[in-house]
Amino acid sequence: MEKRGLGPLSWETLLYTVFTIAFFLIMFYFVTGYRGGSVLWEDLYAKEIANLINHAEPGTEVKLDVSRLSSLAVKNGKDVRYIVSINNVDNSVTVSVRNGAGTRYSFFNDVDIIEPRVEAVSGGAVVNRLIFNVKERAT
Amino acid sequence: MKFLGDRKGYTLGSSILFFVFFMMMAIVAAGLVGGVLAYFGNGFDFRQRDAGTLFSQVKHCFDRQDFFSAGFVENPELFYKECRLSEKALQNNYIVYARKISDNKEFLVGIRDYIVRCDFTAGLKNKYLPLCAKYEFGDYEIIVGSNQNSRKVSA
Repeated sequence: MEKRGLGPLSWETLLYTVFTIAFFLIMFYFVTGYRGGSVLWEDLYAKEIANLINHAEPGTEVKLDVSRLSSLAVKNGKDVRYIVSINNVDNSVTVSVRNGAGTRYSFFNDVDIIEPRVEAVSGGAVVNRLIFNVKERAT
Repeated sequence: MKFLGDRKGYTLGSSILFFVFFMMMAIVAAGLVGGVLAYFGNGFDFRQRDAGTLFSQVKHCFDRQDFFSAGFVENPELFYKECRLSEKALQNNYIVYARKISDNKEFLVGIRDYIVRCDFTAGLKNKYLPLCAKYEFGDYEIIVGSNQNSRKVSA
């Protein structure tokens, strides 16, 4: 009588199938990250924002056009308010125009970044600006 | 009918096939990653700019107070405070090195090994090596280097 259910051969086939699906999902995730240059723009903006902070003196208010990022975020279904986050604890800037992934770069200027936010410029429906204030680090 | 799994050499054969399967996956992955990176590029190289920015801050700070007479050598905490630089950020991917040439007195924060790696010409192409700014003036030499690259994170 022939064996039924998952014999050794079937388990092997299942394993191959799982690995193949996982592999293609990872590859799909990797390639879609580059679609429209999302990863490259994240990389560029993370570095430029960190560079701006490195050059900034306490008391500075920075306004940066991030329309390119917001249009990519909208395409990828990401909320525009969360495309840039700045962490004062580990001195890092994270830019994310994709759901679940982003690019991080650190700044070395020992300052606190207050209220980073992305705002639409009044009168311009497609123009968004990142605004934040640079303050002396509280000891 | 005899079941296939009972055949002699079956285990060895399937193990070898499993290895071949992973090899194929690795080759396909390398091709895809290589193709995507070749088309889109591998990000922007900010190491030289980073080093330049840090250098200007360090030089500006040095002009205000000589590191060797301000006690920075004995107490690097003072350096971070007076020059408004983050200790946490500088420890991992940077070097700030100053030397008083006449008595060979040194001040260093960051990664000491970068003093040597700064001279590697391969650093221009290899993003895992630091790019540096060097300056000699009077009795002093300053080397500032950066090896920071952006990181992909979950967000």
